[in-house]
Amino acid sequence: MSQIALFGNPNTGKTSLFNNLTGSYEYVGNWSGVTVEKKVGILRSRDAYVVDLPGVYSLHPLSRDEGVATDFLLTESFSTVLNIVDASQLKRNLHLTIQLLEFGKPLVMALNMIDVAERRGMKIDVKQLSTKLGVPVVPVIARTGKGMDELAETLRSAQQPKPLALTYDDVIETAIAKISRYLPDDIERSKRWLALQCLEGNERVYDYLRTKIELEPILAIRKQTEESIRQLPHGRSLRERLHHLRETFIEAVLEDVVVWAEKQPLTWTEKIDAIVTNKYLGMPIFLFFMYVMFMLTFDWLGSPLADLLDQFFSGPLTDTLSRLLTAMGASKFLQELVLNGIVSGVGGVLVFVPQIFILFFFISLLEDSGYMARVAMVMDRLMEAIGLNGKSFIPMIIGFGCNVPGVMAARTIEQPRERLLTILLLPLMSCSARLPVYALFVGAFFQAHQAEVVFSLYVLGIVVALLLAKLFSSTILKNEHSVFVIELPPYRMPQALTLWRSTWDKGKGFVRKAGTFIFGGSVAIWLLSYAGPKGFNVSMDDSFLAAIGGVLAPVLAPLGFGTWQAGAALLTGFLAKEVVVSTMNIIYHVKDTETLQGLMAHYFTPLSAFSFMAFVLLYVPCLATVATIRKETGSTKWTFFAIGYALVIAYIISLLIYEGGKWLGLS
Amino acid sequence: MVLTDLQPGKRATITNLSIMSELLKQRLIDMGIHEGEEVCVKCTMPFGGPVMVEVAGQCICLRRKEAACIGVE
Amino acid sequence: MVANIIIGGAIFAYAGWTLVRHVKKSAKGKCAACSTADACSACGMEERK
Ligand SMILES: Nc1nc2c(ncn2[C@@H]2O[C@H](COP(=O)(O)OP(=O)(O)OP(=O)(O)O)[C@@H](O)[C@H]2O)c(=O)[nH]1
Ligand SMILES: [Mg+2]
Repeated sequence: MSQIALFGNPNTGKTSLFNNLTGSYEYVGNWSGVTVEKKVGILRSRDAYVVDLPGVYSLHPLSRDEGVATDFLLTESFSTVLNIVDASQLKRNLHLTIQLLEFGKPLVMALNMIDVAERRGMKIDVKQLSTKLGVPVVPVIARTGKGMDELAETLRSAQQPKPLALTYDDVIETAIAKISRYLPDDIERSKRWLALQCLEGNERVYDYLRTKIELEPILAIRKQTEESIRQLPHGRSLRERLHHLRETFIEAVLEDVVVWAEKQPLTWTEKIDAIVTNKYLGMPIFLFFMYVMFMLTFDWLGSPLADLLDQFFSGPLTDTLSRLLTAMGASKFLQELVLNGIVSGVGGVLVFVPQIFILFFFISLLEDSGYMARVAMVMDRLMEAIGLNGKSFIPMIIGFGCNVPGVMAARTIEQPRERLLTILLLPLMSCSARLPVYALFVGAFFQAHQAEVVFSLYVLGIVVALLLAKLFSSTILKNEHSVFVIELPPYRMPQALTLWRSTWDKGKGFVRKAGTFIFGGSVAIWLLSYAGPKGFNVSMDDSFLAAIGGVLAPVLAPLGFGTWQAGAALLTGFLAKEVVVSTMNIIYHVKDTETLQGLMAHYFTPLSAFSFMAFVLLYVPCLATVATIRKETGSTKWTFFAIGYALVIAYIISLLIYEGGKWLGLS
Repeated sequence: MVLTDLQPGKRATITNLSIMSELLKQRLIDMGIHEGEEVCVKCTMPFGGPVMVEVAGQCICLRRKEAACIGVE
Repeated sequence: MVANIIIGGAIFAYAGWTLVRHVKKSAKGKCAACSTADACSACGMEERK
């Protein structure tokens, strides 16, 4: 089957279009750098693959996610390029189009966001644009799906384009000719394109060519060209010269293609911006947004819903199951397995589904509105002071949902050191899997101040991350120079449907997880608590689980929770943090959260409960996060470092909280 | 005159980019901040934080230190 | 009695399978453990390809 590759500037709606063409649902958000990996889907008509790629400004990559797109061009075979162009930013977008046309594969241009362009007063003559560039151009609105059929039709009949009518100046053309002559004849990519990319200084292309030929002569030609360009009156660098010549070409193309009507000011984006990125209000507004989110999650909406679910699980569901089991003549063993193991373990986590969904709703809102990039801007000054940049804050916010995509999102950070530092600190962001643990404990010990306590834990995670960033960036990860530029997209009213899909897609994973491995984990934990060295059905304190957890208990004692129960729960939490809650439910042998919370008062004080929550927040990242860190850093050393420092810092902080609290007379 | 001297809301044309970091310079050019383009400062963040500028209908945020290396008139 | 064995066996088999799969998947950095599995760039590649 043929492959269609999607190329375009960041945030131009590639993924939206991909979703429309393939009927899949990939991650869409209103900021640059949402997609950081290649994604493959199948066209609705089932006759071609479609590949979604990270957005790039040019084919010369500056960050890791952009490298994915260039590597795709260099190493994979595909039949057609689908170039998505933001109609409202036509001039800038066409720089990439030119480079793609030079590449020489059949190309179809999807002119996206024509609704936005029209609102700005732009009229685009599609026919003329198509003739001038020599490629088919299809106007679409990826958000609503307008123009998809025509696009699919055009894609099917895409043909080799005429060579682009862009000639650079004499110096550059001579250099292109020289390099082309030097390139071997059996090379698969367009020679002119390769030559131009070499002149741009594209490292990925160098790497590609290095596998085939000696690179020195090409570098020499480039150097020489660079010098001749510098001698020209305007004194630009070679790269700037290339950009300038393309710009001139684009201006000529656009001359009578774009007609400006009366320019309407972008009223509401500007009005909102005046408030949310206000000098003094910016930071407080962000904190206020977070606070509302927690109040809704824990006080106003989430907790009451969770209580309802809890009542259902412990009441009707348990009764029905138990009657059913008795009717079937199930043995005592089986009854205990189902009621004490599965219902307690799985139900104990499922109870918190409403809270998880509310949290995800807010994260989706943040992602789709355009506020995300503004948060990066508001935070940059603070982040700069600790040796990071504002962009690092975006992966951190994503990390509140789940650390794994957060670690991936760090790919958009240009500076390798800043990227590494962001990845290392990401596990300190309190992901949604830790939420059930907090919900359980605050329900038991901090009834009156649930939202505030959880809020304080999130803030604790951020503060610890910032302090450690300062520490690491001034010791082991010294930065030469920090880089920060970010595009601020216009605000877009999040669509109800998109918002729902994106919330559901994130939340669904949580529910699925409950049905799969939390189920498995619950069964295993129950078995460990049922069996012991002395046989089956032993008292819980003589079980294998107690023996395992008991090993950790003395170590944890100074933190205020030196029981085998806490030890066992923390151990299982490495698999995934929600399992901590399942384990607690099973260990304390209760079927509903309320009784559990009552029972826990025997083992925890409010102070040790807070210390425990802080420990769960900070100690080792879960297995999937560890594996992703390993993959993204490509270094075992840094992976172990991430685990190690987290354990140490968790221990220190919990110790400080517990001992400090005792000293203050809180316990 | 440099970009940071520009009053918020006023338009000016970029005359030169004397930014040291090649990486950053490339990024800015890609985003549309290059010689001959019109810019407008939208707002600045406190405590020497970044500035938000508008080029060709697109808002871009960059650090003040770097904005000070962009000549305008 | 037979029902006991069948149901018990099924539960343990399923539990074992989910655990093994979970550990395998997350060790690859694919997040069976991750709440955003479908919405996230790291996951779901295998199934869709
Ligand atoms: N008004 C309007 N908005 C659109 C259109 N197409 C996409 N969007 C919005 O633009 C934003 C970016 O969409 P994405 O599909 O994530 O863009 P992308 O090109 O994949 O972005 P990256 O992966 O970051 O490169 C989202 O908020 C979309 O809802 C359109 O035709 N009109
Ligand atoms: Mg995308």
